[in-house]
Amino acid sequence: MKALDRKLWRDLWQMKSQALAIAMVVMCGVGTYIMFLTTLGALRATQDSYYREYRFAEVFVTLKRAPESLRQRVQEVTGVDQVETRVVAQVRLDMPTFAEPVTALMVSLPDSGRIGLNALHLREGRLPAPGRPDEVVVSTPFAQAHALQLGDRFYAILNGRRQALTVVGTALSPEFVQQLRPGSAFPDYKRYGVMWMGRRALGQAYDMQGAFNDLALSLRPGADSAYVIDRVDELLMPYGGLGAYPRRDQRSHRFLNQELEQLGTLASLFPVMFMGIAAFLLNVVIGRLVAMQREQIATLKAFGYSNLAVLLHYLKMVSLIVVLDEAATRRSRILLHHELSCTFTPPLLRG
Amino acid sequence: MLQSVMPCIGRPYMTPLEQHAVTAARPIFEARGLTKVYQMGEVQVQALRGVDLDLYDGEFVVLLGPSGSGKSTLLNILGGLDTPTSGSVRYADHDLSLDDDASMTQYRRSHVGFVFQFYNLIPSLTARENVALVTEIAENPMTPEEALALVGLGQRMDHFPTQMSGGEQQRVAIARAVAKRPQVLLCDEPTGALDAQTGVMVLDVIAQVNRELGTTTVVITHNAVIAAMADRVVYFGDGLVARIEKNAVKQPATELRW
Repeated sequence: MKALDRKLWRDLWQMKSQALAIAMVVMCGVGTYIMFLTTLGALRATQDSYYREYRFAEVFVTLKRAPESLRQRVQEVTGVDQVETRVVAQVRLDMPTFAEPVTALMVSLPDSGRIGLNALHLREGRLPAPGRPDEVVVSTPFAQAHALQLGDRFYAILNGRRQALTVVGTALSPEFVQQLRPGSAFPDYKRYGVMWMGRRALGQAYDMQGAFNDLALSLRPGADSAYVIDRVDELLMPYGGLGAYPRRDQRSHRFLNQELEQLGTLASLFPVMFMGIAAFLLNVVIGRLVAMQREQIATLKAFGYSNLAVLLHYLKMVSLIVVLDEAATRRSRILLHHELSCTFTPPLLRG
Repeated sequence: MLQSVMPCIGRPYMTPLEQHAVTAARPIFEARGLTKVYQMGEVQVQALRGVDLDLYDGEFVVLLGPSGSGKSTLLNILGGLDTPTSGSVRYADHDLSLDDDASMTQYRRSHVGFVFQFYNLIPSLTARENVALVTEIAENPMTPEEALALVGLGQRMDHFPTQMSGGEQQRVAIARAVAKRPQVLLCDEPTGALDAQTGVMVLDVIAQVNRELGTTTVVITHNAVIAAMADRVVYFGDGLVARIEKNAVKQPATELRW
C-alpha cells in the first residue's frame, strides 16, 4: 500500500467517531425513508385489500328519486358489473350526551342482509333486523366519539318525524374511511357521523318504497368508466340525477389518497433533510481536517505532489467515509425494512 | 575560520563572474535581479530588493542573516515554492521564473529536497513511511531503508514521529529530503528547534549528505557559528545579499559549539 494511502486509513481511524456520527445521521435519513416507504406501501396495500374485500364501488351517483326498476337498466349498461341502489338521507340527531346539533348520513342496507357493494365490517353487534325502523348500525368512530354502546338509544329527525333509534352494531365501511360533512375539510365525529338502517324502514320514512335516491356500481375489468358514467347520467337525469362520479372523486377516497400522497412527500423530504445534515457534517469534518493538515499538504506539495494528487487524497477520504457508512448501515437497513414490513403487513395480506 | 572575500561597503557582494572565478565551477542556480513583494492588505512588504546570486554544483552554502532579511523568501524561490515578483532565476538551463504550476511541481519532485525547521513529518506515518512518501514519486530514489541508514536511523524505521526526539525527527526529515537523490538540498533553519548538541548532530548529517552525495546544499540560519562549516557564506540584510564570504577551511560540524 502506498504511504499516502496508509496516511488515509490512519487518519480515518483517528476520526472514526466523527465518521460514526455521520453514519448515524445517514442511517437516520435512510431509516426514515425506509419507514415512510414501508408505511406507505403497507397503507396502500391495506387500502387496496380493504377496498377489494369489502367491494368498494367504483362509480357513485346521487339523485332525487327513481323507481327500483331503473336498476335493471343501469345493470345493462356495458361495463357495469354490480349495481347497488340505496336510500340515503341527511338526518338530524339528538344525542343525549352532546348539546350541540349533530347530523348524520343515514344509508340504507338491503333487508336481505347481503350487501353487494360497500360492505360493512361489523366491529360489534349485528345488522338491523329487516323492517325495524328503530335499529341502526353506527360508524365506529362516531360511536367512539359519543361513547355509544350496543343498546344505547338516541333520537333522530327522520323526514320531520322524531324517531328513537337503538344502536345494534358498530361498523366500518370502505365508503366512509374518512367521514366528512359536506363542505368541511376535516372529520368531526362529534358533530357528524354515518349510520345504516334497513332499506324498508328508511324507505318508508322517506317515502322511498320501491324507489331509491342513491346508486353505487362496480365496473367489469377493462370497462370504460367515463362511458359508464355518461350512460348512467343519461338514465338518471330524468330522475334528478346529480351526475355520476368515479371513485377518485369520492370524498372519503380522495381525502385518504391526499393523506397518502402527503406521506409520500414526507418520505422524500425527511431523507433529503438527513442527507443534507450528513453532507454538512461531512463538510465540517473534512474542512476541519484539511485546515488542521495544511502543513502536511504544504509538505506534500513541497516534495512534488501535485494539487490533483492532494485533492484526490482528500476525495478518497470522503468517498471512503461514505462507502464505509453505507457498509456499516446496510445490514441495519435490511433489518429495519424486514421488521417494518412484518409490522405493517395487515393480517389479510399475510396469508 | 571565516574569510571575508568582499567588503560590503560600495560593492556589497561578488559579481557572478567573480563568484565563478572563486568556485571555478558552473553555477547550478543563477539568480538575477530577484525581487519579491508581498501584499499584506494595504501594506506592501518588500522581501527581496534585487538579489543577484550564483550557487554552484555540490557546494555547501550557508545563508546567514537576521529574521526578515529575505533568506527564506530566496530559499522558497530557489526551491520552486514561490515565484519572484521580478527578476529571473535559472536552475541549470531552466528558467524557474517562467514555469507554470505543473512544471514547478515536477521540478520540486525531481530536483529539490527540503528540510524545515519544524521537521514537518506526517504524524500518522512511521519514519520509513514518511520517507516512502517521497521515494514513491521520485524517479531514481534510494530505498527508505537506505536513506534512513544514511542518517543513522536504521534501527528506528518503524517508529512514529511522536516516538522520536526532535533530533531524530529532523534526521528523518533529512532522510526524506535526500532519498530522491536531489541535486539541491534546501534547509530552512534545520537546527532552529533543536538544542546545540542535537543541532550539531543534524548538521553533521547534512554535511555528510553534501559530501557523500554531492548534493548542492543551502542552509538558512541566524546562527553565525554554523557559517564555519560552509564552502561559502552569503550574508543577507534587508532583502539584499550584503556580502559573500568563502571559507578557506571548512570546519567539521562536530567541532561547532554555541
